[in-house]
Amino acid sequence: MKKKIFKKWFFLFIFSPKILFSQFQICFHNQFLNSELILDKKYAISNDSISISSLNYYVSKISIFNDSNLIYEDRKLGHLISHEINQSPCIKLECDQKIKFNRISFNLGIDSVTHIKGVLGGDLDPTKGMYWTWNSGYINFKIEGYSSRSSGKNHLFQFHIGGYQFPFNSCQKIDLTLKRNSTIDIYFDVFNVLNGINLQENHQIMRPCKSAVEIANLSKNAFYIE
Amino acid sequence: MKGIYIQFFISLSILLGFNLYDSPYFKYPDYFPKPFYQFENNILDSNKIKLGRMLFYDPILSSDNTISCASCHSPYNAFSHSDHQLSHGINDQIGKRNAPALFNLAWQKKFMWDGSINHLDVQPLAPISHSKEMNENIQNIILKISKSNFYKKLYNKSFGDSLITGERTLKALAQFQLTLVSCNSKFDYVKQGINSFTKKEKLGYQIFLKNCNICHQEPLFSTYQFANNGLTVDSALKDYGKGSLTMQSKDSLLFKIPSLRNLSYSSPYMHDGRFKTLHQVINHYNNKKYNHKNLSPEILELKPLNNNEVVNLISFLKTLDDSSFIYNKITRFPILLLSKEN
Repeated sequence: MKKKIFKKWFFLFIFSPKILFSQFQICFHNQFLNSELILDKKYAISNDSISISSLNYYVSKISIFNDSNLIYEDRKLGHLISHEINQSPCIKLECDQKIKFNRISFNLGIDSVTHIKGVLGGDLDPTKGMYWTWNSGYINFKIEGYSSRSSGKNHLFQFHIGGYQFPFNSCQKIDLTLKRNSTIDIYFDVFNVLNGINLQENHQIMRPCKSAVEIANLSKNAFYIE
Repeated sequence: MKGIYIQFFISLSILLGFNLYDSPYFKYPDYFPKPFYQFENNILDSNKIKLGRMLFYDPILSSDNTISCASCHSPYNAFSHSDHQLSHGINDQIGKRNAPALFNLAWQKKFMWDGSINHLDVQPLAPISHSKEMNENIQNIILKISKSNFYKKLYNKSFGDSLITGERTLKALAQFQLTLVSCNSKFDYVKQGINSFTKKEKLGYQIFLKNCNICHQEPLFSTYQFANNGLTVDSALKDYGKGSLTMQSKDSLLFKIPSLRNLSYSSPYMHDGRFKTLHQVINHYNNKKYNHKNLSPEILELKPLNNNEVVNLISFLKTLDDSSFIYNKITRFPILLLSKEN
């Protein structure tokens, strides 16, 4: 009898994925000028005053590499990073901790293959407010707020950056070199995005277009590792 | 007392039985091409189809609970809207385009006259969110449906629990719409060798093959591609079709090619419903008064038809009417919806 129980536990022990693969996290830290972004806080910068009221974006296709060898690939089709819901959201990955790695890549946004799969659930459910209804497609990156420079109504700006088809594909691949760690901390400084936009001329984008791709490019370069 | 219960149970099961339909849910003749819709991502199921049918006919999908999908997509008009050139939404508002007929959707890649929607599953989001159509949003619909015990039961039956999400709602709506297959017209019976064309219809079929089949390819009677058929731009609507969406001149005035099935039920015609009769449509192609740069080349090839030829062509087009589709009991308004609370 004892032997049987032992066998059962032994097998459970052997096949428990938690023991073989410890959970492993990627945490996103949204920043404004190198410090943690606080929504609706007025940031006074040279000849401008900026506040961010909403920040949401999709991260997908997370892959971890050791040099050029792919070590791990995330199977989830997309993760919604919403600063309103969680200021430092972490994505848990089932990944073998023993394996060495030194590079991470992911998409800012949802790729075109996923875009034509029809309706999806979880973070990609259209009820998340990140799906265009009039022209199919995810909003890859959404930032809204106030800038004294903005010529929009009440000096507001709204950038809903999406588009998955040529020539306005706004999904961006981000590639970062890592130090080996149990969590990967990725920083995203929205100041670097806004700083690249002439808010006086451009305060609203809500469709796939050339300026959307340009802002997507700016966003791509706003990710970094400390 | 017991007798009342039994009576109630019997009448309820008759009522349910009337609305519950088992397989096969999706049948089509062997001369149809393979459907484009990937059913493996949304496997048809009688409960989900039934749920989708309830949602399709339920005005709960609009902001003031007055407009359902069926308001503009009536089964008796092959799921289009007769007597309305443009879609008619909440508070008597008029939209920009003619509500198209809904059938054989599993063979279509892009939806809406301008192709703005890339998948059947997500198509309902467009009319739901349009301020002049249903003026609602999917988040609020989920809140409304989540309060309904009627729907909780249906979601539970369909998905194994009563969780109501956007994904489940849209998948159920797609399932019902996928079952709208029209393939029982006289043309289909001729194709299957169980009926034959009259002399006029036969002559009309020859004219069709020579002139129309390039764009309105049989057996679906559309390639479901986009084309500029030379219609002048309505000065009030200023609708450039796909061009309005992509802002590219090569897409200017491109509209989705509609199927020629069920034309007798789905008047008016064209993206803005400007033509009431098939004669008017054929006259448009006969007159050849086009001045668009990116006119579809097939249009220029057309040779004007004489009156006899027009009559014969229309005789043939009428063989594409599928009355069994129009009067199909399993796709019409579900009586069960009347038992919904409030």
